[in-house]
Amino acid sequence: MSAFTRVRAALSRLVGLTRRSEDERAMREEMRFHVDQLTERHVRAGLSHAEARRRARIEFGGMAGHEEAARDALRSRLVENVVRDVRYGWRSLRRHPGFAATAVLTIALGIAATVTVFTIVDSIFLRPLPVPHAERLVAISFRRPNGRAERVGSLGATLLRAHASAFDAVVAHDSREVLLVSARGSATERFGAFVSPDYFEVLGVRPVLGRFFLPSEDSVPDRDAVAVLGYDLWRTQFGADPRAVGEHMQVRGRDVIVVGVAPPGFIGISIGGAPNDLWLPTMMLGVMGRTCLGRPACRDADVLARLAPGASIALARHQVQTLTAELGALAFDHDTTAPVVVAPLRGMATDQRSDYAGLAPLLAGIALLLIVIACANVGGLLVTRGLSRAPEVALRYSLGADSGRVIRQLMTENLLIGVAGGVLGVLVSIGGVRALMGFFAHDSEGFPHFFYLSLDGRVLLFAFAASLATVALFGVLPAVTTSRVALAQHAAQSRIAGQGRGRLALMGAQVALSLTLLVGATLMARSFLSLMHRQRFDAAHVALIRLRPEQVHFDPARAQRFLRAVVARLEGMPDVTGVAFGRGVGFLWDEGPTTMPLGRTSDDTALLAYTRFVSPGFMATLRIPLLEGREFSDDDNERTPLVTIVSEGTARTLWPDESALDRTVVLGGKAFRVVGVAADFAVHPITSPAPPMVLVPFWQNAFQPEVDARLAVRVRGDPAAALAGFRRAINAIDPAVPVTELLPLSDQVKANFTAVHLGAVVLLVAAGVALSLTGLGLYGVISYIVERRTREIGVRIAIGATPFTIVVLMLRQGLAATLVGGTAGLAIAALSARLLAAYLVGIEPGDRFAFIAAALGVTAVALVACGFPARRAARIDPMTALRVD
Amino acid sequence: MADAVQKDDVLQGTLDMLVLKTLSLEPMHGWGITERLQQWSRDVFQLNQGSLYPALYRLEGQGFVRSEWKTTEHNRRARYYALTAAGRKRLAEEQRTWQRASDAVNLILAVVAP
Repeated sequence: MSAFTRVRAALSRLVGLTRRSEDERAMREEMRFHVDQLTERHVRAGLSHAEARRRARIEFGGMAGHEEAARDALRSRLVENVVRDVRYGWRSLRRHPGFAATAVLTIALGIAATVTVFTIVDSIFLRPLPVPHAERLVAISFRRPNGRAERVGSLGATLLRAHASAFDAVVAHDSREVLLVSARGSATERFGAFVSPDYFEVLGVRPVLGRFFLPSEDSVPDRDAVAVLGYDLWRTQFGADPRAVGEHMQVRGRDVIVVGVAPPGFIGISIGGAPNDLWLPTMMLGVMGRTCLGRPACRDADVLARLAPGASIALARHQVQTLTAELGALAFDHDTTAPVVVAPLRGMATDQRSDYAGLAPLLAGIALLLIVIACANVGGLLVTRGLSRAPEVALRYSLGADSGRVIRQLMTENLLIGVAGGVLGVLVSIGGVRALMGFFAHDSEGFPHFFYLSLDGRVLLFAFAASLATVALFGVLPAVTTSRVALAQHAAQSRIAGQGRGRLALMGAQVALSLTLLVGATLMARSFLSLMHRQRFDAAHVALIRLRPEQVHFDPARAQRFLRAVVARLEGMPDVTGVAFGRGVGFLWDEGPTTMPLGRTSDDTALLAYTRFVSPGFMATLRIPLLEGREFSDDDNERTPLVTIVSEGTARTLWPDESALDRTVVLGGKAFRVVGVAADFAVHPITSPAPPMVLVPFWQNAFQPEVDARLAVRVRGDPAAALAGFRRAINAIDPAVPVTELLPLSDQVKANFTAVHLGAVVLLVAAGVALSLTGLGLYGVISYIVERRTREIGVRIAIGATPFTIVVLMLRQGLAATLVGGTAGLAIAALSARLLAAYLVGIEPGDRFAFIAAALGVTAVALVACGFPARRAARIDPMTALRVD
Repeated sequence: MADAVQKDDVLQGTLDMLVLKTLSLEPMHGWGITERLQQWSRDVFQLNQGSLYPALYRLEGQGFVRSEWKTTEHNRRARYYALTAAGRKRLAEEQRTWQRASDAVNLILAVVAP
């Protein structure tokens, strides 16, 4: 940490210099005084002045030698002084535990907020991969005019390898594939990657067993069925058996041979995606159904490259630029003008950033507000503390302490607070980072995301610099004003009154900022609640399960027999109150698996309807309101007439004035009888009005026989706790069928609104912290004023003021600060609420309820905070008060 | 040296004790300490005067004395040194140690006398 050493050196030089020059001056003066006295004595004894001085010098001894010895003595004292200051500061803080705790906690909160946010922004956007030469790795992709990234593909990688000398390695990889792996009799679903052979070398990993891919193994499509196991897969699926190398296993039904095992902890490079646990050559992408391998326009892989030693990214960009046309010809079937972007490989893959991009400035803004509030609060605390210490400091001055010494002493005490606050803040932020990253842990289908998360040295250094700067800034202020107090003590009284006003101004600013945060928090919370409630289905107590018999090549008849058995088994389980199932990628979330033309007759099919294939009991299980008619039953099957349930919106569009029941609709060319009308339930994105939607019975197989299915199981208790039991029950029926994506429905709903949810939680926490700080601050400043004016209040009571007038007198200033700050806060909130617009669903940024609720909340806190000291003032006993000196 | 009385350097290691002893009466500045020491020792000890200051700084660093700037009766600024509680304790200890050592030395000298 060269930066740290430099800072430390500069600091010690600063401290050393100022101290030494001061001590030096004092030392010289002292010695000069001595020699003068000696001279005087000789003069009195009758010597001439010049002779007297000469004798004095001789008797005093070699000045330079004494000075050197004195300097040595002083230097060794420096260390002891610091130790003494620290001990003194510690004792002084222990005498005022309330002050110390408040100051430390306030700083800790500010630091925790900063470190948490910086760590998350760093992990998501800035951090390089934890591999050797990470700084030389770049990602290469096309950038469409709409900002979307487009893959360069393996063919492009080959071209770059041959023609771009700025790179000494070019890797093609497809790191985001879900692979069903069957080995040694059991199946598991893992995230895998298809990679070119140099992938492992570039990332600096070595196999713990066997080998990685040979160049020849990635040259012909679908020829070399070889695989490298992730360490975790090897451990769990092969029991860490060394004989796994050379063994056969199935990946999505394709037979492959294990050639090696990756080292523990290596989980690929898809930051913000799922950890990889299995690798195959890119030429095996046929496993994923890719048939275009080796031909242009396939865009089968992302490309990353390593800059050759000495090559700059500018050179790389220039070389890639000249190859744009060829790369475009390999990646697209038609001429394209999409430019190629060469970017340092940092943080999350660029194509996933957009989901989170808006969050970074939001979080940073909130952290910044919290820091400002924390600083203002600590500043107020330190100023008050500095003033209440004025007598002590004045005493020390009058005893002859020099101002440098006093300031140093006060600073030491403040530094103690700063360091304690910093340490505590970092500890809190470790929890904060964990809590916030919990929001990013899974995607909406329950697949894990991973980030390399750890506090790094730069963030810690920043945190400590910030906490020390805060106390230094506000610590010097009281030290300096107190020095002045000591010199002109009679002026102190008016200054104290002035500083009370200064603190009130600080409080006003805090009120403004807390109100801003509280308005934001209320808006976000209302937005999140409206998202959760506008779903029109009840996500609580529902578990989702996905059955994938298609991956093990079941035919529809066998798959449906299996599904019926599973449903029967689950329905028989003790805590299950309902089982629904259906088909579709997101089941409840995606725009629907199928869009089909819809109309009243076969000639009139103007609408495109999202079509869902659902089981009997679907609406009952998910508690979707049925407005008219009935749900599907087991009697709606392939032998009975086609039926459908239409959504409320669809019904209103097709039959604006009459009931839709028993009407006929034409869907995808077939006629269905409407048996029910369902409430519009959510489809993603919820921000737009509900599109037309129809439900058709899963068992009628009107369009194509179903194989895979998703289940929604309503349970009595916690759905997350029931998942393992469901998996066991299904495996007991047929262990070969992959059972995946088990998660509570509410988790899936939340994962779809991570940004809003996270924003709401962060804002609520931030607003809570800000309000508490403001309350504490107001309480402190009013208490201080009451204490200062005890005598005056005593006099007022003695001459007949009622408790009520005293309370009003004391409340007036605090409430005035709240009023002014609150008005400013409402204005700031009105301006800044627009920044939240992207996250607000179902309410306006100017939502009156949010503003009124927040204003009332802040006023209540201010009343309580000022009320306690005001009540204390009203109870002052005039006799006691007048005795206060 | 022209003076009639032979002067010895302050005994090695006793300077600190003598300084503390001097300050046990009242706070005084460096020059005052020198004067007082010479006066008490009837000018036997010729303090190497400059060496007093490193000793004072050391004692202050150890917390046995503390210092403050004051004005002398002749209206000059001077640094006055005063004994701290710790200094008082230290002086008592040193005195005891010194007493034991010098008693022992005296005893030995008495025995060896012819």
